[in-house]
Amino acid sequence: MFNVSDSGATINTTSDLKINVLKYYVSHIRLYSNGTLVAQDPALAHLIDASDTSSSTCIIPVHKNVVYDEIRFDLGIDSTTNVSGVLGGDLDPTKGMYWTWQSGYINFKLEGNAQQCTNSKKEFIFHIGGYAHPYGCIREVSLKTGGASKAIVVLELKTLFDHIQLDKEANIMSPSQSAVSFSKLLQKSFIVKEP
Amino acid sequence: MKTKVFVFLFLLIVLAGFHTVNDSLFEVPKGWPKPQHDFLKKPLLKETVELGRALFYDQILSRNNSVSCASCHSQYTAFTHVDHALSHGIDDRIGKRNSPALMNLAWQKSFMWDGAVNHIEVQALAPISNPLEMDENISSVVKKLNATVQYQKLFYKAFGDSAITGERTLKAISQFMLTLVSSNSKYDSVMRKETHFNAQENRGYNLFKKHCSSCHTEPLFTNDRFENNGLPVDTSLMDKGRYAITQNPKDSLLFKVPTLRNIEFSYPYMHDGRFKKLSDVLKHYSNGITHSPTLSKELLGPIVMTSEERVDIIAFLLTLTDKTFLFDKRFSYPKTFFSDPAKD
Repeated sequence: MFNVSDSGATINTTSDLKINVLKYYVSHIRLYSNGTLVAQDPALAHLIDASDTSSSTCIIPVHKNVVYDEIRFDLGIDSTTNVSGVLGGDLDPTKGMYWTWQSGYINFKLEGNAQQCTNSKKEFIFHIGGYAHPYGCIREVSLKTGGASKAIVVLELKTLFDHIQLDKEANIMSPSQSAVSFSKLLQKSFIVKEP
Repeated sequence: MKTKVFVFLFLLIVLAGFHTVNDSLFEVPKGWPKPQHDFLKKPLLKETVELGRALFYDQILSRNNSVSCASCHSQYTAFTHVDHALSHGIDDRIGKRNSPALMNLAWQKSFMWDGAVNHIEVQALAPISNPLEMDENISSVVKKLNATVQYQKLFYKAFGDSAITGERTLKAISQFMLTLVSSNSKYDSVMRKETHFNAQENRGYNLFKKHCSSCHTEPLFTNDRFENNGLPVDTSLMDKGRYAITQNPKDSLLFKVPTLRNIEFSYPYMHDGRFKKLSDVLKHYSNGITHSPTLSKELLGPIVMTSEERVDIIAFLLTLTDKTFLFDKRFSYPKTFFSDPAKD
């Protein structure tokens, strides 16, 4: 389960911050045991949307007695999928996660308001994506776990906001060096919690 | 040993039989290269093409239902926007480029003047969403289509159920576009040895092969690459072409090499439509090249052409007109669909 509903509590530690949109793609979820792959998600990708809690659960079929100690997944959509034409389900362009002026998925969308933003609307917009060299933005996240049947993967927005300077850069909306740096911050902002 | 030979022959027959299935929708003309589009993975279906054709001609794709794809891509002018240097979209808003002529798209690796689009199935998203073109979004298009009984029927026929999605809508438009093959010009008849060029066309063809064909390569009359063809930059547009997509300085001022097929009807010319006549285009290549660091290597040396030679080249270029294509009923406005009362 990708926990997005809890993010509000995390955000409270930073004052005057409001999140309007938080959506991101998670793909290739894999479970490992001692570095060996033991199970993988058959789905191409999942769109996690903070405004829709039902979107945050990903069920991975696992054989009986399989144990695992690590979860890995890709944050974003890989380049093969990005050049495969139009796709459906969570990858349908109606989901608002596909650029229109050029081809490619937006891996991660975060929009909101913060006092630190210097623009008149005090607004920040981060649309992080890009699949082509040198601005590839897909990132593998690897998390050690205790191997419970249910794991909660939390995106800690505080970690992210601690590292970005909204007064300097409040808009990233195309594949670029800034987007690459942002995606590397995101990669480090996930933790796993087990109930 | 005999058995092996027999098996081999049997396979050949099966393959030949398979090819005839798709003949009516898409056929690789004799001697043409293999298309970029993977028809085995993404085969054309008659019902999907028909749906795509209806969508191509339907203003429902635009925000206020006022413009369709065909508004800027009219069949009689080789599916481009004749007479307009910069194409205009919704509310007469002027775009930034000349609409490209649509034909032989199955052989293209990327789409748009700057290659911004990497697959034909996602191409239509760009004009649908561009505020200067259709100013709409695909979710809203899907909602409007869902509210139209006639489309529910067409989607059912094409996909086996009436679910209307962004994926299916875009796929259908692309299937129609893939059928737009122009391969029946006088040039093609000459290549098939059914007729001959006249003396002037023949001189023009030889000059063309000498001066133009390294970029406008036969039989598609484009090498499908991006080149800087030495146009002085229009300072009001400051359009750097492919650079906007890759942000690589080597791509500054590079634009897709367009096909020259049906060029008689696809005026005005260049990415910003700055030239009205073919004679202006040829004058540019003989006297007007602006040198810059990314200039195509083919244009580094001067192209020396007399005015008579330029006229001969134009005579050859006119042999690329394909009236069968320009008037092909399979590609025209689907009257029956739009006259159905259930449509509204």
